[in-house]
Amino acid sequence: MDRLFKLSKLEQALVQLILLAYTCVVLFPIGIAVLNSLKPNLGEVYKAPFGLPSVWSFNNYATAWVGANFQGFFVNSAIISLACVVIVTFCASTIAFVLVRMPFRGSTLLFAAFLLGVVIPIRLTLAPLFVIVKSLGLLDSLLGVILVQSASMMPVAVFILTSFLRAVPAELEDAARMDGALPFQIYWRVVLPLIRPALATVALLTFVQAWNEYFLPLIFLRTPANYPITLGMSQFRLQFDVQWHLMFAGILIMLIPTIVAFLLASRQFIEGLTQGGVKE
Amino acid sequence: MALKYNQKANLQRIALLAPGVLLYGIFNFAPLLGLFWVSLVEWPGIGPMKFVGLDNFATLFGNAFYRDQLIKAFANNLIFFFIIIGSMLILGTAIALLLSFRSWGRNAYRIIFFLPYPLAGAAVAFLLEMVVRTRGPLNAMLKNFNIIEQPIAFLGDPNLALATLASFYSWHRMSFAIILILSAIVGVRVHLIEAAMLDGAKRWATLKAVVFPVLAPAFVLITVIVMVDVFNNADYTLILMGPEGGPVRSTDIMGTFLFRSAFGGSATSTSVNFGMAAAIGLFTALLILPAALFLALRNLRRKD
Amino acid sequence: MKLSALLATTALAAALVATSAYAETVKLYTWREQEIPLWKYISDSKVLGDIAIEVVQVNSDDYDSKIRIDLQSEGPDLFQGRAGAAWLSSFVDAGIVKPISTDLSGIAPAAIDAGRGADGQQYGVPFAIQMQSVIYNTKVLADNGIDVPKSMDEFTAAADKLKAAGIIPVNFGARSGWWLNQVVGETMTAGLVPDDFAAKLVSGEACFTDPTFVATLQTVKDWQDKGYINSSAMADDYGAMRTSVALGESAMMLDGVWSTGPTSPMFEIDPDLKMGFFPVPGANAKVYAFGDGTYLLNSATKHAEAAQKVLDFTATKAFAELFVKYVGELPAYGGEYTVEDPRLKEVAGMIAANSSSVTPFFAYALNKGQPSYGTLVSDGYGALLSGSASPEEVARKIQDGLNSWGYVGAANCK
Repeated sequence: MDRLFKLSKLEQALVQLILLAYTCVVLFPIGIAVLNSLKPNLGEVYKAPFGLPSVWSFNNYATAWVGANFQGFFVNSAIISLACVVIVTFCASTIAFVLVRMPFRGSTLLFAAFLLGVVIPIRLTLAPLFVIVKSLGLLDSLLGVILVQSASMMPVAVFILTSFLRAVPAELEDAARMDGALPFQIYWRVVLPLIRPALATVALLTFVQAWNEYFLPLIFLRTPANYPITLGMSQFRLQFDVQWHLMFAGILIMLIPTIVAFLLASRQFIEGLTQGGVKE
Repeated sequence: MALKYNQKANLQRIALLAPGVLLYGIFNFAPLLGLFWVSLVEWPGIGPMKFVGLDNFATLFGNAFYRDQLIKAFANNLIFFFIIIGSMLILGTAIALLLSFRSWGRNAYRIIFFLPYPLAGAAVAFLLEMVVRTRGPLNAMLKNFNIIEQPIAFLGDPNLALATLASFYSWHRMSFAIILILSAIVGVRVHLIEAAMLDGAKRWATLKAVVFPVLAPAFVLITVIVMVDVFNNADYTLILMGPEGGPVRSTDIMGTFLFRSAFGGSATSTSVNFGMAAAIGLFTALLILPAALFLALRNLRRKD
Repeated sequence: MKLSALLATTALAAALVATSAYAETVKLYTWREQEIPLWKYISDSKVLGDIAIEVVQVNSDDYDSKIRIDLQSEGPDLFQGRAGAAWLSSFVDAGIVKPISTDLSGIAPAAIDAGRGADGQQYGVPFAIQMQSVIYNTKVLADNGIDVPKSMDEFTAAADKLKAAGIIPVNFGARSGWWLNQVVGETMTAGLVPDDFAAKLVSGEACFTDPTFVATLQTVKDWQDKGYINSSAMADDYGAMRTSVALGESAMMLDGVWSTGPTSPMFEIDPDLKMGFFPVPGANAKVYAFGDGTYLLNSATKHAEAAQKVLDFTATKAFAELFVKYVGELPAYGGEYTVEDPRLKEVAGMIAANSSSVTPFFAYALNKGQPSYGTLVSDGYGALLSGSASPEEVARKIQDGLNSWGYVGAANCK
């Protein structure tokens, strides 16, 4: 195992070269964002976008924090995003389990129904969706937004999980079934640990999308007390210009929870790498 | 005993399916079906819906003004898609492989490469536009190394704009490919690798035999999801080039075409028609659904 | 988490307490963040008695979607709308807005069309008169010894002088489609096309292929051929254009007076920036003025009386003076009112004395079908500036596009 993945000194140098080159490509624009987030006014962002700030305005972060009401809206964003993660990973994994391991006469049709949801974005179905949400009395509620956002991410999650599960052999599950285990036990005890990397992926993607979602909360929420941070940040969008120095400060603050989520999720990848799955 | 088990199993199956199917059914699939109805009306978003039957589709395909734009937008979208998927699959696999080896600092690299992904589309558009401006650092660098004499108008040249926007997308979403491919590589069973190596195979052969087949499902995933995103959304184009898909429609893709036809382009919402938006959306879905279905079902039915 | 919830509830409670100090609260939806201080003042100072006005500001890109959704349930009592019968038509047809009873006698003639529906009735109270013209960096012209051009010959001479000095005479941000039709198209027409001919273009008696109209396109093409326009025009957007003029790298641009307002980022680039205005000095030599939009009353409002009171107020002189003071823009009021700001005074003077009376961009007759005049002009200038079509071809395309849906002049102009 080690022999496969270990690199000789020469290989290491080559690899570093490539990775460092790509790092530059990735970090350069982000560096520009950081630089411009420290400029004292929008004019400087326009005048000298790549120059150093005349005044290192770290207080932009404080201004963005207060201006976008991070404090008030953070809780909403967190509730929505975490709820979506839990709902989507649970529901999509159970569905994937049934579709792949317990197929029935309508399985393929059900899968195709989910695929239709992958292919058509929820944005187009806004009008009927609004009617449904309104008639259920879920307008202007966090619960409504959570359900809508979760539903919008279900298709892709189901798609990813069915794909991964398909590639995992069923021997362990068959063994459990021989022992008389019922589907739910099999799902909970055997399958979930097996697809941990895929679950982590889905959880991460769901979190990032839910965290950054702007349009659905805009449509379904009215009371500012319910707003997530994304709506708070639209404070910085003026009629003809965006106040980029404050916007970037806000965006970089918003980046932090997603990085935390990534670190948590990628631990699953690392464990996968060292454990390499289940021992026979 | 076996009967009881089967009954219990069936009940549990329904219970396992219920929450997800209900959630999706009510809040996503049902509105989706509503889309078919909306495509048959003319509706500006408020007030009465006027039933027009297939008029929206008739306009879309019958009216030369729309039809020509539709064809051109779709063609552009295909080019856009192929550039993106090509770069994401090739570069994504390369980087994922390098990250799966015991490369120095791979943990740090993983985090760095992830950074663009959670950025908002508007921020990415603004940042990358700054980089490729005629007076921006990219042109300055190219000039410095004597590669070019005059600055290249990456976004202003009708021949380059689309490819430039495609590279923006790739920059933004590359991490998606890296994560999925890395996940697949990592999921390969240890003992399969060990068995292959016991047979005396060297690294490349081992990789080819054991790891690469695992990539196929990951590739399918990435392709389908990116394809759907690219044919339906046009965030960078709308932000940077406006709904007209300039310069001279060279960056016009389905997303901008839809926005323009349904919401009236830069002449601000004078003739909004959600029905037209639904019609175009359905048509786009119809075009990519076969490809998506084919790839996905093939993956589902694959024997491993 | 508990603390934040507590803070949120406290804030909400405070807000409730504050508004319950008023008998009624009227909700006003707008995309214009610059109006927030105005309405805060009107609310806090109880100008309208015991009515509080709560402003819900949605940023411009999402505004249209948001109000359409919110109007389907309890949404705004009042909302701002964009100018023109075409934009209003869907709201009129849905019965959301009805002909208003407000006395509009004080509104300036240039702005009155903003609230006029397709049937000729008035559906809203216009707000804000905007002016579009050539805007120039006074220092750049002064440094190069150039006076404001009064004719196209003087303009050409000035441009040559600027070009020789290494300054871009006219900057174009052609990547921004909305600017191409709303600003460039209209300002060039106001400067080069006589008013009566322009009126005939709207009524269909005159055709866009006529040399009088083609002159607008030809002039821009000439400017480009002579090197007066920035070579990266197709790659530069509206923001880059304003930045260039603010930096003094360009001398002039076609733009609206809002760029010279107190919140314009141009002043953050150069705090000492001074700008001036003049019309495109062609055959008509007029500036372009239009009503920016209207205040509209939601017919389904639950606060009809209070909302009507607010609406009526927006057509008065008192409101006009508050508008100038708190928004920093010219109100749509046409009568005499105090303007202290010298810049606004100058603009008001130009509008009153020398503005074109025809606004094709907002004309319902030209924009009710697809492709609309606005779309065609935007595409046309884009093609013109990227060299893929000649002025005559662009004019032909505009004419054909309008003919394709049978606009009023389709029979006359083949």
